[in-house]
Amino acid sequence: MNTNDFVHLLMRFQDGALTADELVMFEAAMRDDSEKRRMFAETQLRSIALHDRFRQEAFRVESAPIRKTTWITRSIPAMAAGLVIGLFSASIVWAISSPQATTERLSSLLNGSFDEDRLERGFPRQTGFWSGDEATIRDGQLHFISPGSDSSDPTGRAISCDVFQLVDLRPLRANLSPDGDSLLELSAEFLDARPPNSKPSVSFFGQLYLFSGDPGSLHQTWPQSIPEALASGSAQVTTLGLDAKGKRTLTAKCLIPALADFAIIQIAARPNLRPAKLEKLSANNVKLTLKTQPHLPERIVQRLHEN
Amino acid sequence: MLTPESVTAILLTERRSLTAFFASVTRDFHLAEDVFQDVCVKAVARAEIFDTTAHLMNWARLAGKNRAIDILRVRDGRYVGLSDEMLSLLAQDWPDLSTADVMQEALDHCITHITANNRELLRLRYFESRNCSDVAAIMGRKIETIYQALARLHKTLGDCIRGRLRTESPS
Repeated sequence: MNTNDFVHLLMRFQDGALTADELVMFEAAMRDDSEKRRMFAETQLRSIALHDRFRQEAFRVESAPIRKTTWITRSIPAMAAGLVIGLFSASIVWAISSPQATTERLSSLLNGSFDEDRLERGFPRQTGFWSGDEATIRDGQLHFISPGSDSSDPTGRAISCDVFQLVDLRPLRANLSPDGDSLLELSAEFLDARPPNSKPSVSFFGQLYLFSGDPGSLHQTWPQSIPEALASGSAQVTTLGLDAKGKRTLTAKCLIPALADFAIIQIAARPNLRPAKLEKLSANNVKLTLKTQPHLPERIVQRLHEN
Repeated sequence: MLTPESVTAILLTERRSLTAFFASVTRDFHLAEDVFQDVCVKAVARAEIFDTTAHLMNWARLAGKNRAIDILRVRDGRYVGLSDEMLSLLAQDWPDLSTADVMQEALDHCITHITANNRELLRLRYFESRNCSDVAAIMGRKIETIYQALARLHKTLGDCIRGRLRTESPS
């Protein structure tokens, strides 16, 4: 198999499009040729580098200063949870499902079903209400209207329409697991009601960041302070108008470090071609759930020990 | 014996290399990142079992590969992909941190030389994680044309990256 044929098969492999016979042929080509294994590895690395490159572009804040992160000085549970920082497009930060988990819907996130129309502009300075870029609450839904720049950098590039709520976590401390494995789960429904195959594509995001300290001062440094989050979780979906799947539900999760004082809940719509006015894009049914004793999956570790 | 701090530092610096390996199983970069995080948390919790960086990396590749296959089996009912034997063979010579990081720097330069249309193709495929059928529909092209274009772009970027690394390496 020559190089061109191999790379063509590799593209189809990445796409999950190889037939069983082609997969056998693809493997055989690599088994007999270390150069092809090198090409495979290089192509995989280049692909993840492209993934990272485009993600950095999507989330770049042009004037954001580079800050040195301080995770190395934190406790181990906080560090482990903090590993997710920067992986903004991870669809699920922590894949855990356990029937033995204790689940509690948190009432500290207010107006998650958008029954009240209070919506302020700019990054919130207090807990308990939604605030952010140009949007409106109508018919029990949050409608995204226009991307905005960040409060701490009004001249920065407007990338997405972000709406936030600060949530005080301190009252929850008594309910947290002493083992540091309590989980905070954000879920939200998003609807792209434009006609099918509308352009530009739009990415919806549900994100949560956990911080220690005073929530009232964070507006001064957001989003440059993101690297200082103790933990974070993110989920995203990209749409091209209304399709058969209808509303999309995103779920973002992260562990709660013992030092976490408050959470920032962020829901956002980002047009993937700018500038663009956002139309017929909405969010609803935002929920925050605390799960304790989630029983981390141990099966693989046990299997490795048995080997 | 490694400390939890050193395990965390090693895994963070090897993120790209490990995630690229896990993506060889998942063929989905978002899922590969989830697997990476899963592996990190498990590794930090049991740092004392690792004697060396090589030991940790071998464990991480094996744990991540098994985790990825399990996730796919739960999600799809079966795993279809590279055999265990082939994944082990690939793991033996998988590029390390230094390769992954210099590649990223060179890529940042090389990607500025491709056309806007080709950038959009790469963005749809590798950032939005759209399958090639979707990319073909969005760009109004046939799926085989998309495969050919991606293969050509990888070759172009690979040549550019290698050339840039040659000119930058000390003589």
